Amino acid sequence: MSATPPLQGITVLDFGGTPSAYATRLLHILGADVIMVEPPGGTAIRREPPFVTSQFISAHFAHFCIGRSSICVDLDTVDGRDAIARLMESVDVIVLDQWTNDLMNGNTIEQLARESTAIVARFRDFPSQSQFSEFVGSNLVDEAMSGLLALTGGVGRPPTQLGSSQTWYLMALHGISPIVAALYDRMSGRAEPEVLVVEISAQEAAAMATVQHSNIHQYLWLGVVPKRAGAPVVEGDPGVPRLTLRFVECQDGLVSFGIPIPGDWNVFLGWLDAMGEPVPERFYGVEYFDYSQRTNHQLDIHNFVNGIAKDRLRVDFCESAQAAGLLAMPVNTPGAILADPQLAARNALFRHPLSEVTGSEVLDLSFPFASTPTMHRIVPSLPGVGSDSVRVLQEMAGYTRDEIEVLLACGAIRVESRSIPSMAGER
Amino acid sequence: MRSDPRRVAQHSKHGRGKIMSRLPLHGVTVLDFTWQIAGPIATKTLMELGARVIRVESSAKIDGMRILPPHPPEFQDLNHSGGIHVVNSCKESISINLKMPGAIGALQDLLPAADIVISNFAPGVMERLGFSFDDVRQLNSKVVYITMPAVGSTGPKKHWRALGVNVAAIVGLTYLTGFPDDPPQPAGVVYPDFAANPFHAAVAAIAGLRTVRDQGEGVWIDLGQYESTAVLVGPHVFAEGVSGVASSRMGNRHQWMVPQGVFPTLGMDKWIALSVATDSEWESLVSVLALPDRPEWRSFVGRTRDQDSVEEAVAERTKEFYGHELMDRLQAVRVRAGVVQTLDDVVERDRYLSGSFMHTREKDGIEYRVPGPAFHSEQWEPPVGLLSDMGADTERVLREVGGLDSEKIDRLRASGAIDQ
Repeated sequence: MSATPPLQGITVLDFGGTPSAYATRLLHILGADVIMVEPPGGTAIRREPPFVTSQFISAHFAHFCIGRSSICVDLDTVDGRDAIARLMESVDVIVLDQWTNDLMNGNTIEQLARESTAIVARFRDFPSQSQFSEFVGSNLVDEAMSGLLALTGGVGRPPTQLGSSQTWYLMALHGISPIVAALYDRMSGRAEPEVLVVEISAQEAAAMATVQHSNIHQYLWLGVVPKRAGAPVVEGDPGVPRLTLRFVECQDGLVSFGIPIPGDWNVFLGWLDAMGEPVPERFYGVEYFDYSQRTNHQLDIHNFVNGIAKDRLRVDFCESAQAAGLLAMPVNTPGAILADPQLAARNALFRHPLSEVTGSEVLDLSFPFASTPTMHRIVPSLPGVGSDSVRVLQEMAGYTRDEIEVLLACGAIRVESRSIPSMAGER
Repeated sequence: MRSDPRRVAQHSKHGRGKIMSRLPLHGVTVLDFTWQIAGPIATKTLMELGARVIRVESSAKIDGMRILPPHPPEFQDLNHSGGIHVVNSCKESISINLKMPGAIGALQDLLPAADIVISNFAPGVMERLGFSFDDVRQLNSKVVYITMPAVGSTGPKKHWRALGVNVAAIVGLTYLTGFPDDPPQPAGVVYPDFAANPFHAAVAAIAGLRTVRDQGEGVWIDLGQYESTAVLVGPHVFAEGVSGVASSRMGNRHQWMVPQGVFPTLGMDKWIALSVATDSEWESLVSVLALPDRPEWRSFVGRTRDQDSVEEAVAERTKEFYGHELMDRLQAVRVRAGVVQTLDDVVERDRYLSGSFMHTREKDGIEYRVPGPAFHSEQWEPPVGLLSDMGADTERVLREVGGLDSEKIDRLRASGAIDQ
């Protein structure tokens, strides 16, 4: 059963790049039409490695820009800026991000956006009200300044970033709710459409995870400053490994395993019994049953579970532990989950239009949650550079066919490549 | 009666007497069955956007965050934990013992007024309490009903249990974190609980409001932590699916910014993060650090080919500088640089943030620091405050929202359904 997607009828004009790309992807999946504005030559996300086809199509582009339209505009021309100004009059959301704005006449775009009635989402490295507002950043630099980077890293290693540019994801996640809430307010007739500027910075979004994870009162009241696992304790100390029971090693790879709840020790013993593993006598002692004392025996437990794991495949180990009520999940490579029947059963995957280019089935992740009725939709296409310039300016900005021809002739707008799947036959 | 922070915020003035806009979720009521971390952060976001959030608590099953240390020495009770306030800003609290007569009925009386009902219990708990989606929509046909199980309430693995650390492992986030020659490095934060799950739940709830308004019927959103975390490594999932080759761990490196890394500075365990995106940024870095200006390193291709040596040369120079001094000098010439701050830096140097991120609130003579939202608007003034004492709002909410009269409330009190 499907419902009308919640953002059907909403149009987003997207000047963003990779940092804000997840926010606009989610807006599309919720039903919005996303029009990406590209400079001549195409937006930077198209050149973000890795490339996954012989035509050098970027995985980032193919994943994030699914279902979007594209207009290609030369913002150094008066006619190009006029076209954007006219377009801004008829869109609901304008996404600006500091990184692409630096390349695309950003100040002019923001001034134009502020004259519209749209919701203007402004994504930045650092908050505009902070003393670092003029600083330039990156996912790594923003993570460093947020305190989040300091929390991860092994012995002998510096603070280490989370994989896959998580600071930018955090920024997108913090930005999406206010955008959709403001849209809900307007679509429901509860608020008048007048320009609303919402700013989200990567530094603050990541700092939220820092202060919430660390419980800042640990620091304020007890003076505790959390550090990464491998951090040295004293000068010259090479770092002390803090043992955890996080990973055990099966025949075919690592498993994230845990017995975290005090009452679960009985569950653990029951699991050993069910597996036919002899239970060491010491495991019946109070120092193992008592959660606070058990932490002194982590190495013993870890070695024991590793001994069980080494002769088993991950799938068997995880299934048996989960059936018993323990926590066990494989440490997967990212793509491994595409074969997990759990995601397929929940309609969390869709057939990507690159299937038409590669000639084999390509799957991608769809919606980050299931719903009844189904709330999401994905338009299975990828835009060429400016592939929708003509249609969008005609339909949304009111340009006539003759005017479009003039804009194309002077280079103010361009159509540089075709969309996928329409280019599928070229493989 | 406690003052309503939302009301204050909506009418307060800002800057040069500008009146704030009403928050967009004004008038939305959330019946919040969540506990621990991910659920409360989700409803905190809804509160910051204007919703009224009523936490449903019980002395029979106390939220561990109310017990979690630290507490101020003079208040070792359920209302003064530092952690509970950080993730539950400005929420109301009712405390109902669901095992006592009349308790279920009292909560059912609240359901018709709830726009959103949300829980993050293990699968089956809400059903056993009598608050499944079907139960709830019989009393409120236009409810947005949200569950937040580990891997989903449906599917062959619906019985699987997980904490955030396990979820980060199964989706590949752990695999992608760390250095290429090391094993995968677990994140230092329980990342799914503080990022993927709460914020997806918040946006799902808001989108659900629109769907309900459009369809005229309730919606059940089942937010499996598995799928909501998997999307945060989406390009790597996709790339491996197409090519069959898994992305490699990159430590602190980047594919098109070379060098990028974390380099030592003066002091014990002090570091600076640097990203060099262009050849001109490299020139500026060479100038500030007085690096050897080797011709082969002037190009991106040359630096990439010789990345280890480039990083060694940079590290040799950065360790001669204090981090903040070096950051300021590099930023002055537009090189992406930031010191690796720790929690104390973030708390003590709030001026580095927006100035409206961390807030001080006082309760019983104790000073708390709580974060506001990470989004800002000139037109909005989101409320920031502390959570009500456990059950402090029970009677008022039952009257205002549930329409219960004094006689009924007295009976609930006498039966033990209202926690004392």
